[in-house]
Amino acid sequence: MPIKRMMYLLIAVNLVALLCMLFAAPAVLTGHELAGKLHKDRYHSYLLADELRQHSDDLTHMVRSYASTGDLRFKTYFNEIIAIADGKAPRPIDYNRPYWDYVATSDDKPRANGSEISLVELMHQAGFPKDEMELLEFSKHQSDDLVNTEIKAMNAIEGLFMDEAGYYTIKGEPDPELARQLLFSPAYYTAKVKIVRPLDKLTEKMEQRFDNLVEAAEDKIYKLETFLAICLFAVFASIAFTIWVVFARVISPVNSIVDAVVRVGKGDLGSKCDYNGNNELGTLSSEVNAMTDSLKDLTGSMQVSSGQLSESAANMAIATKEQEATTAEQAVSTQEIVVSSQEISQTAQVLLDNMGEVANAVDIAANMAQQGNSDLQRMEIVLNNMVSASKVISQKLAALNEKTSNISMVVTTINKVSDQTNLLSVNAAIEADKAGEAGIGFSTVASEIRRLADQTAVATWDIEQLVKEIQTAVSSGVMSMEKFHEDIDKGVDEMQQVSGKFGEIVDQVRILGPHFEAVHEGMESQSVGASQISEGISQLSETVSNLLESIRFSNQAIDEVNSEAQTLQKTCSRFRLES
Amino acid sequence: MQYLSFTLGDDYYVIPTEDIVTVLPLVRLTEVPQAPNYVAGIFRYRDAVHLVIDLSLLTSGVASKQLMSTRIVLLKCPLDNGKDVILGLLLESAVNTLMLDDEGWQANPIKATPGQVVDGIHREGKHPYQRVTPRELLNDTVLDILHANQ
Repeated sequence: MPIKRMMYLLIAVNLVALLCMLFAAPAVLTGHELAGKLHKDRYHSYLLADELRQHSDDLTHMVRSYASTGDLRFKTYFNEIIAIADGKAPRPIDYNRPYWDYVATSDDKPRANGSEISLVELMHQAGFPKDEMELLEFSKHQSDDLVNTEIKAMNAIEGLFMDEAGYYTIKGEPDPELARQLLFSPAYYTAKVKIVRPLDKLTEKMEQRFDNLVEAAEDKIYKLETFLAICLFAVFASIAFTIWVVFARVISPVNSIVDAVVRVGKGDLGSKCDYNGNNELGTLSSEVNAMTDSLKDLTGSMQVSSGQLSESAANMAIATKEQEATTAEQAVSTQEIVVSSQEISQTAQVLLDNMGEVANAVDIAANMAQQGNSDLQRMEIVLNNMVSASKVISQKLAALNEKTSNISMVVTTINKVSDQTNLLSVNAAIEADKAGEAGIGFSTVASEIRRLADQTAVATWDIEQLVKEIQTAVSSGVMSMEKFHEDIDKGVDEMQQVSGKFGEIVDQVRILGPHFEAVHEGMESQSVGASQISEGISQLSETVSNLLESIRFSNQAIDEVNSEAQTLQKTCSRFRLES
Repeated sequence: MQYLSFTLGDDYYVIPTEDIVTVLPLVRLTEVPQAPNYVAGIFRYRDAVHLVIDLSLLTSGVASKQLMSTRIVLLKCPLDNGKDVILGLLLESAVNTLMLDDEGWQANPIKATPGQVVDGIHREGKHPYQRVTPRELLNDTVLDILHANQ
C-alpha cells in the first residue's frame, strides 16, 4: 500500500476515534450528573414522605400533650404544624430535621423560617408520578381525617362539641376523659395505620422507581464508559500503529536509503539499498539502486576507458617518440642520401669521362694481349729445354751421393782403427807405469802411438765433417732440382692456361667495343637521373624536417593527453565497483 | 804420478793408474736382476766375472753415453779385511793418461761425507782435475754385491 494512502487512512482512523471520544466523554459526564440528580431526588422524596409521617406524628404528639396537660402552648403548636403543612405559615428551614422536640422543650425555634409552601406543593415540585401522588394524597387525606378527630379531642378538653352542622358550637363541661378516649382509642391507632400504610407503599414504589431509574442511568453510564474506554484504546492503538508504521515503513527505509546514498557518495558503487517495499520508498530504493547501477556501469566503463585511454596515450607517446627517433634518423639518412646522391651524380660524370679512356685502353690491351700470347709460346719452348737439362743434373747428383756414402764407410773404419790404437796405447801406458823404471821408454812409445792415433782421429773427424757437408749439399741440391722440376712443370701448365686466357681476352675485348658505346649512353642518362634524384632528395629532406617538427608538437600534445588520462584514471579509481 | 782421465758431464776427473788393472772397450754387459740401477751389469774377463758400475748414473743419475770413447775400466779396490776386489767402472772419455804432481793436490773443499767419491782437486794441469779413489766408490750395497762375488 502506498505510504500516502496509508497515512490518510491512519489519520482518518485517529480522527474517528478522537471524535468518538469527544462524543462519549460529555455523555458520560451527563449520565453521572443524571445519576446524582436521581440520588438527590430519591433522598428528597424520602424526606418528603418522612415529613408527612413526621407531620402526623407531631400532630399526635402535640394533641396528646395538650390533652394530657391542657397547656395551650401545645394547641398553638398543633395549629402551627397544620398551618405549615397547608402552606399558610412559613416553613422552617430544613424542616425535615428534628424541630418540634426542641420547640416543645424550650419554646425556642432552632432554625429560622423559610417560605410558605404546602407539603402537597412540595410533593408536586418533587415530581412524584401520578400513582405515588395519589398514595401521598390518600395518606394526607387520612391524616386530615385524623386531624379532625384530634380537633374533636381538643375541643372536648375545652368543653366545645360538634353540632349537627359539624361546627363546634355546643358548649359544655370540658371532658378530658373523652379526649383521652379519642386520642388513645384503637380507632386512633387504626387511623394512624391508615396514614402510615400508603406511606409505606409509597416508599416501596418510590424505591422501586428510583432503583429502576438509577439502574437505567448506571447502565447507560457503563455503556458510555465502555465505549469511551474502547475509543481511548482505539486512539492509543491507532497512534501506536501510526508510530510503528512511520518507523517501520518510513524512517527505517529512509535511513537505509540514506546510508546507501551516503556510501555511494563516498564512492562505494558496489553498495546496494536493500529495501524493497511496495511503496514510494520501495520505488525510491529501486530507483536509487538503478541510479547506482547506472553510475557503476558508467564509472566502470569510465575506468576501463580511462585505463585504455591512459594506455593508448602511453602507447601513442612511445609510438610518437619512436616515430620521432625514426624520423630523426630518416632526416639524417636523407641528408646522407643527399650527399651520396650528389656524390653519385659527380661520380657518374667522372665515370662518363673515364669510360672513353677505358675504351681506348681496351683497344691497347687487346693488341698487347695478342703480342703477349706469341711471347708466351716462345717461353714454353725454352722451359721444355730447361726440364730436360735439370733431369740430367739430378742423375749426376744421385751418383755423387753414392760416392760420398762410400767415403763415409772408409772413414768409419779408419775411426775404429784409431780408437783401438788409442785403447792399446792407454793400456800400454798403464802397464809401463806399473813396470817402473823399465817401462819409461815403453811409456814414451805408448804416448807417441796415442798421439798418432789422436791425429788420425782428428783427421778422420775432419773428413767425416767434409763428407757430411757434401752429403747435405747433394741432398739439398737433389731437393732443389726436384722443386725446380715441379716449378717448371707448373709454369708450363700455367703458361698454357694463360695463353688460352689471352686468346679469350683478345676475343672478349674485341666484342666489348660496341658494348662500351651503349654503356656510355646509359652513363649519360644515369648522370642526369642522379642530378634529379639529388634534387628530389633535398626536397624530401626538407619535408622530413617539417615532419619531425610536427611529430614533436604531437608528442607534446600526447604527453598532455597522457597526464590528463592519468588524472582521469585517478579520479575514476576513487569509485569502488565491488564492495 | 800417472792418472787416467775421464769425464762426468762437462767436468774432468782422474783415477790413479796404479789402481787400474786394465782398460777395455765397451762390450755388451749382462744385466743383473734386482740390482740397483747404477749397476750396469756383469761380464766375464780372463776366467772371472766382474761387476760394472755406471759411475755417471751413480753420481749424477744420468746414464753414460754409448760411444766408442766410453770404456770399461777394471779397478783394484782394497777391502777392510786387507784383501783386494776387482770392480768394473763405466767411464766416459777414458782415452787419455797424464802425469800430475803429488804436491799439486788440494783437499776437497766440500766436507767429507759417506758416499763422496772425490778426495782432492789438482791445482795445475789443463783442467781442474778431481781425484777419485776406488775405495770411496764402494758403498755398502756395492760391497755386499762384491762380497757375494768373492
